[in-house]
Amino acid sequence: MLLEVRNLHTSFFTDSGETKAVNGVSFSLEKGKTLGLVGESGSGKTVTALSIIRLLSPSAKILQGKIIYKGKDLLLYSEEEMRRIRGREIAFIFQEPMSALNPVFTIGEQILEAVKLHKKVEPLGSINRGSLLSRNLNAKSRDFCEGIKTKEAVEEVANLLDKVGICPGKERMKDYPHSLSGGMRQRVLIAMALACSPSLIIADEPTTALDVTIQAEILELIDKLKAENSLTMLLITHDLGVVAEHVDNVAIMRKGEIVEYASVEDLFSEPKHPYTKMLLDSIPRIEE
Amino acid sequence: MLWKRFKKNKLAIAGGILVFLLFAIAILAPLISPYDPNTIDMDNVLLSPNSHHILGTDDLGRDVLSRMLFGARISLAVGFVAIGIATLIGIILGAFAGFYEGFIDSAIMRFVDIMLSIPTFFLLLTVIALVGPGLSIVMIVIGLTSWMSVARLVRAEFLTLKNREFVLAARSIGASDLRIIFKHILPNAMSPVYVSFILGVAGAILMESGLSFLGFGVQPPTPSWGNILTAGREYIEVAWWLILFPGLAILITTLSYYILGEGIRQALDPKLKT
Repeated sequence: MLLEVRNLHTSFFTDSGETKAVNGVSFSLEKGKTLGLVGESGSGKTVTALSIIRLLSPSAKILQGKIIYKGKDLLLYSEEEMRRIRGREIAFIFQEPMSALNPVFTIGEQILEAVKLHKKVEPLGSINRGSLLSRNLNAKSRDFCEGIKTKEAVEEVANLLDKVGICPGKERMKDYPHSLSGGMRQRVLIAMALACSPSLIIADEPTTALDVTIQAEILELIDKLKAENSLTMLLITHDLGVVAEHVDNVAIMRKGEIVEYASVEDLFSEPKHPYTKMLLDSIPRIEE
Repeated sequence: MLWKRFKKNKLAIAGGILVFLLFAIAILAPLISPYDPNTIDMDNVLLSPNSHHILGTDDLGRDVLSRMLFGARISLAVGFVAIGIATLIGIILGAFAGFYEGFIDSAIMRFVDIMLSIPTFFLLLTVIALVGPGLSIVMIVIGLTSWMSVARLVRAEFLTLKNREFVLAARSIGASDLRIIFKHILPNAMSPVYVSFILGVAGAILMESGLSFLGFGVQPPTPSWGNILTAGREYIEVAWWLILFPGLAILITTLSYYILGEGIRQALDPKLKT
């Protein structure tokens, strides 16, 4: 079990009182599998994800629960320790690619920063990095993110851009976010997430902001990268269509709680919770 | 990208050219100055503008044009160094206040309020009365009393920018607070700072001229537009050129910086459509 979330409770505290965003959520992620976290807007999916990497706004508090990552409870980590986890062990892909990129830096610089930040950091425990890297990255990359020289790092950034479909990486590195289309920007975010070969990727509605054909391309890319790098992923989405083809297990969230938790096949063939049935029924079908 | 908008703005171009010319003159002063600014020539005291001394001479026979050229250097130096110090202080305090909010923000803003309530000129006079006049003192004190508007501007930018998603994205790859403040947010917050800097220089030049005029700034024999005016005040009935030329110089210089600053502000303002 790479990640286990047990009884997570997160609330927002404002002048109007306490708002429970996550109310006793538990799920687990096996290494190499993808869990789809599905729900409407406001169901608590993003807050759950942000709770895992502790990037919540100051008005939010994690009240209870355990987040066990590789055997250690992340909620007990200090901020300093969490900073070493973010990007390095657990990477986050944001929903809105334009907002997530800094407008004054080139895309190459931004990906490079992800690398530089983890350059001399010790990895968590002893991890067999060999299995996480695909055959496509060269052997030197095993030491990637640990004392790598800038020139090599820049080369790796160019490689990453190629891998996510922004070719030729070496030249496109110098582009600014505003000169890229939505799909391209999302690819940049994916490249940033992959920069330090994390073990877990949390993707928060990575394709919601894109149109349908680009959405398909991005999801295909994600699948390919997942397979190549044996990645574990928590995929947040409100789109059951995405879930059907790209995840192994599904957790359906509603009002801060998980109402159904099953494998993808079981969910679609035998939905148990009325809410799930409602969601499935709300998908318009051509025959009707 | 911003260059195009800048070029289209006539005001900015005019200001830019004037500022550039003034800079050139100041830098080239030793080369283009007809006389040494400090050579006393008691035979040619208080001459009105003529073919030998284009702007006349002062009460010690020194060539006014030469003194003005070297005075330009002083004005520019004071302007840039003082406002450089002020901008640096303002950026740091404004960034921390805007980023952390809460107690730090309140503390810094109250400090700003206190500083704003003190009339700068009188503070300058007081410090100089205690410490003694001089160029460096003037620069430092102007710097230490002009950072407040920059701090407010930077703080305002930070308050909005820190909620942008790229800040969260930077945190998600493990960036520390300091890194986010100075490497990520600050470059995005600089636009109003440029304008504030230019306008600040104009103000600093005025302040230095005022202080030197009163005898508290640059001390003779070092020439400054302000201290040429000091002599001019005494001899105003006989030597109008000692008042007119430094006065015009201060006016034109300050005006050029203001025009340039306004031009930059207009060019950078996304709401104004050129």
